[in-house]
Parts: sequence; structure tokens; C-alpha cells
Amino acid sequence: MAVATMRPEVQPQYPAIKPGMMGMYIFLASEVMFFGSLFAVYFYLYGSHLVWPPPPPSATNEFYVNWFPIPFVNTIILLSSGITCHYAAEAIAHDNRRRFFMLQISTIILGLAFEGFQLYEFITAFGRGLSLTANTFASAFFTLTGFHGAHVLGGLVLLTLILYRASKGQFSSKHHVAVNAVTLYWHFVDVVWLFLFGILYLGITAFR
Amino acid sequence: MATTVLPRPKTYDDSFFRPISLWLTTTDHKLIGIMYMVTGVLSFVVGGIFALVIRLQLSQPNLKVVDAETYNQLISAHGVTMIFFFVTIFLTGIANYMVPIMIGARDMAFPRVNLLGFWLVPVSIILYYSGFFTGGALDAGWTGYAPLTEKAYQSHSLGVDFWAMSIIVWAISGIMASTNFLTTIVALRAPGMKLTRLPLFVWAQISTSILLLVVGAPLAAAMILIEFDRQLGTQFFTTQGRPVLYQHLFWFFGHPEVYIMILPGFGMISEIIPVFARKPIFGYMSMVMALFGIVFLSMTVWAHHMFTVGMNTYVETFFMVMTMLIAVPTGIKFFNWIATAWWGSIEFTVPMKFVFGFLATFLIGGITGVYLASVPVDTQLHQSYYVVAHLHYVLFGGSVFTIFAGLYYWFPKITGRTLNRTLGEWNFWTLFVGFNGTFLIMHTLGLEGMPRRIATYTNQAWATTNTIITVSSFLIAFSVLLFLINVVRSWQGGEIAGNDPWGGNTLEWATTSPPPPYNFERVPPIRSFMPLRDLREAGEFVDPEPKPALA
Repeated sequence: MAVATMRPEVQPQYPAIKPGMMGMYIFLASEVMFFGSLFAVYFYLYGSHLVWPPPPPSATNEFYVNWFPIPFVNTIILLSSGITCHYAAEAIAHDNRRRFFMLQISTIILGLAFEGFQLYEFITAFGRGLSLTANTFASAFFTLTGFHGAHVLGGLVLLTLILYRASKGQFSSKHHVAVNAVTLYWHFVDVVWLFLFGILYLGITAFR
Repeated sequence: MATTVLPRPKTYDDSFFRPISLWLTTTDHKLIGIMYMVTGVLSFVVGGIFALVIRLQLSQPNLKVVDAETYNQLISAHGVTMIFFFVTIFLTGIANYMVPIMIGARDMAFPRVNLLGFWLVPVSIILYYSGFFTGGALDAGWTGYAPLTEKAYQSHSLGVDFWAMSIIVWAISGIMASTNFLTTIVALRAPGMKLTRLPLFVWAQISTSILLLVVGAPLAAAMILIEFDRQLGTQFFTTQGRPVLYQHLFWFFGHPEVYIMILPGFGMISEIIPVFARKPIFGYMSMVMALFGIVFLSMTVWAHHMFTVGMNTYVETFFMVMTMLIAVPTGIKFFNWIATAWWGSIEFTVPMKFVFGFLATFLIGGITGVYLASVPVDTQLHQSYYVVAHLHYVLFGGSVFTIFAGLYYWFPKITGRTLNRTLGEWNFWTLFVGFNGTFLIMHTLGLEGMPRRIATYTNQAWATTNTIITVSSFLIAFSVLLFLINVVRSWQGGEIAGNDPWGGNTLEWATTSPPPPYNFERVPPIRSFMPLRDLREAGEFVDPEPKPALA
């Protein structure tokens, strides 16, 4: 028979949601609108051109960035980093600091890998003549993926700051709002990538 | 019986010239609020001087006070200054000061974000005006429509680049402020301050923050894309891109911005009328619902600024209908204000005069707005002085009148001293007469076909009207001068106001004037959306320094 151990009754916290988390949720609303308006720009350009994407200036087949292999691998990398990030926050909530450090460091490594692959992909694209100025699709493509990449970079900076603060012992099961807020931000960046991958890569080179 | 005795007011520290290090580094929402407000008023003066030069140029046909190039820079700078650097900034300031006190909090949720958000504003302002020293500021109007701001048409100066940078910084600052406001109001309310007991000014600030949060990012995106087009050679609005796309992005911000500038004003009106009519606000919940109706509708109407760019007729009809629908929630608010004042024992103080001035002028602005929402009418009146008259009736007759009302109402709380009443009366009447003299006949001028944004005109038939407008605009300037004199004089040696000079309803009157850094030693019990009125009626409110008799 399970007998509940006598624990002191948990007093309802006021406010129920921590201001730090609340602030991050609200801030992300404006981020949603930022990427939303960039996507709106993309769809407006899409809708106002008869041929989309506009035919490449050279007749190479591989002018536009193919969804496979690098973007596909990047998707897997970013999604796994979301998982490690989530369990890192879970670990600190249970005071499991060793696991937190392991997972947090792997999140950062995965994020760096994503950025590296993205950079490689951009450089090879430039080599094929697909640059920011090539045509209107290329402008939108690089702006959208570039801003996403910048957000991943910002997330990496935040994750590193969290790691540094954790190494100073500033987080515990009772105090980890910052960890949760940054995790939330990281998940947001993941979700944006899913849209990018679906629309800019799959939509252009897989399902045409 | 529990008696709420307020702490004795400290010696009033009414010197503005506190140590500069304090102003630079303070995270106190009240000092930051004052800095926002001072920045706003300074911008008002600068933007007003631009307007006076514009009016001098237009006072007679074929004048050449400034050349056409400078004129275009002036109208752009007037618009940007008034919209971005005056009204929005000032209203953010007054909300920064009042919202935490009104909900019984000690400070904003993120005081350091608040500080950063404020200091981005001077950065933004300096960036914009840098354009004047680098070969000419933005000269495509405050809207900066795409082909005109592109490299092909604007390569001679960095003005457009500075404008785009400035607006990006401004948008980031606005997003910070809105995030802060929303978090503060949701998370830091005093015990008993349920959402249904929030003062209407706080509700108005919630709606404003939601709007700025949602539309600030698209504005930043539009400016970033303009900048990419200019400096990196992308093709968003030129060559393969679409110029109209810029207008969609811009007005998706631009129209809600109108409501960002008026909703806090609505909130102030909803606070001031009940106090001076000695009646509770009529229809509290309908006021809140109307605010959210406006928030929703204002994001579905942006293309009514673009009826002449050649959109699909069905799209135009949609935007026309949505725009006209906004008159419904606004009308609800309007009738509620009138119903609040109806049969009240109205005390015609200066703030109340500004409120009634607002009601009269904003009504005209609102009705011409419904006219302009109609596609066939707008096609005729587009880019004419009718539009100028309409937008000044809502922005000046609306926002600026509410700002004056709010300032006269809250100045005693902010400084501990009331603004001089005689000067206030003069300020109101000169402003009211000057304002209507300036903008009322602009309607006629627009109907006669005078286009806006032209450096000069040749039609002699418009000469008299334009002269009247110019003379009246100087009357406005005189009125603002009276106001500035009043502020400086009263701040230094005005009548001591006491904690509650008006017999207010909301929490800010339950603390000292000016409030201590921590706002309240003890937050009074909150049982309705008018906690102070409850206390007063129960005989539990003892003001240690009773209100001096109104002059």
C-alpha cells in the first residue's frame, strides 16, 4: 500500500508564472511576428511571380539549394539539440547537475554543428552563383535562412551564458527561470527552422 | 474600523536637476518615465518648429522660404518626429510612470530592460537627425515608400539609411517596453487587483503593448529589407521585387501605430472623466471589450491607406468594411464617456476642458475617417489636404489633447505641484482655437483639390485659406509656449498639490506626491476598480494632507 510521506503543503506561488518565463513568452510573440512577416514577404513574392522560383540565370540543375543532404541533416541536428536542451532543463529542475552539464554542452555542440553546415551550404551556394543579389528568390532565401542562423547564433550565446552561470552554481531545482526561458527560446528557433525547411527547401527542390 | 492613514509626505524633492549620474543609471520606473516624457516634449517642440517652417512656406502661393528639397526633408522629419519620437514616446513615458503605481507594484518587471529600452530612444533620435548632416535626411515622407527610398532614386545621401536604422532601433525599444508592460501587468499586480479591477488606463496600456509587440517586428523587418535593398543589392522592392509589398509591410505597422498613439489617450480619458464628473465610468466591461475590438480590427485594415495602388476590388471592399467596423468599438467608448459625464456634477478643471476638447475634435476626426474608409471617396481624396486634416484631427485633436489632459491631471502626482490654472485655461483656449483654425479649413482645401506634400502651389484661390491656416498654426505655437512656461514655473514654485488634489479613484492617489521610490509603504485594500473611492465612501481614507481648495 502506498502511503504518502508527509510533506509540507505547497503554498501557491504568486505569481503562478515567473516573470522571466512570462517575459520570454511575450517576447517570442514579437519574434513570431518578425519571422511571420518575412514569410509573408516570401509568399507575396511567390504569389506575384508566374514562375517560382524564377528560372536560374545559368542552366545548371543544382542552382537552388537541394533539401538533401545538408539541410536534411541540419534538421535532424537541430531537432536533437531541442531534445538535449529540454532534458538539460529537466535535469537542473531535479538538481542533477552532472547530467545538466552533459546535455547542455551537447546542445551547444549540436548548435555549432548546425551553424557550420549552414555556413558551408551558403559558401557552396555562392560558388554556384546563387548569392543575395542573384534574383528575388535568392534574396528572400538568404534573408530568411540568414536571420534564422543569426537567431541560432544568439541562442548559442545565451546557452553559453547559461552554462557559465551554471558553472558558478547559480542554478538549482528552486532557481532556474533563466534556464527554462533560454530553453523556450531554443525551441522557438527549432520550430522556425521546420517552417524554413518545409517551405524554402522541400517546397523548392523536393515537391515541385 | 480599519483606517488607512497615509504616510506623511516627505519634503518635496521637486528639483529637476538631480545628479546626472542618477538620471543616467536609474532603474526607477518613475524617473525613466519622466525621461521618456521630457524626450517626448522636446521632440514635440522640434517637430513643431518643422511644422511652422512648413506653414510659412505654404502661407502664400509661390513662396520660397525653403527650397523644395529641404521642404521634403522637413515634412518627413515632421512626421517621423511627431509620430515616432513625440506621441509614442511620451505615452510610453506616462504609462511607465503610472502603470506600476496603478496596479500597486513597486517597479516594472524588468527594470534594467526598461532602462535599456529608454536609452535606445535617444540613440534612435540621434540616428535620424544624423541624416541632416550627411547630405540630407529622409525626403520621401514619413512613410518612405519603396521606390523613392531605393538606391536608384536616393543615392546622394545617407538620410534614408539613417532613417531605416533609427526606426529599427525604435522598434526594438518599443518591443522591449511592450514586453515589460505586459509582464508587469500580468505578473506584478498587488493582491486583490484582479484583471477585472484594473484601471482602464492599464487596460489601455495592455492593448497598446499588444499592438506594439505584434506590429513592431514587421516594421523592423520592412526597414531591414529596405536597408538590404539599398546596401546589399537584394531584390525585395526593386527589379524582380514588388514596391507594393513595402506598403503592405509598412502599413501593417502604420495603421496599428495610429491606435498605439490613441489607445493610452482613451485610457486617460476614461480615468479623468469619472473623477471630474464624480461618477463611476459607464460600462467598464464594454470599455475593455471595445479596446480589444479595436486591437483586433486595427490589424485588419492596413490596406485602406493603399486604395489607389490598384488592388483587387474584393480586397478593397474587405478593407473598407473592416475600417468602417472600427467605428463600432470606438463609438461604444465614445457613448460610454458621454454617459459617464451625463448627469454628473462636472468640475470644469483644466484636464476636464482638454477632455471635452478631445471629445469634440476626435469626433470630427473619427467621422472623416469613416468617409475616407469608403473606397470611391478615398480615391478622390487620396493625397489631398482632406487627408492631412483628418489625420491631424485624430493625432492632434485626439492624441495630443489627451496628452495635455493627462499631463494636467497627473502633473501634481509627478512633481507634487499643480500646474497654474490661469495659464492652463489660456493654454486650452488658444490651443483649441488655434487647432481648429489650422485644420478645420484644411478639409475644404482638400475638397478643392490641393494636394499634400507639395513644396508650393500656384492657385491664388487657395491663398486666403492658407494664410488663415498659417496664422492659426502660430497660435498653436503660442499655446505650446504658454504650456512650457507653465510647466517650468509650476515645477519650481507651483501650488503644493497634496496627495490627492482631484479626489481620484485609482491607487496612484493613495501615495505621496511625488511617490517614494518604492511607491507604497502599504497598498490599500482593493475591492473594485476604484479602490480609493471605495475607501473614501467607507470613511476609511484619511489623507494626511487634505486637498487645497481649487482655485
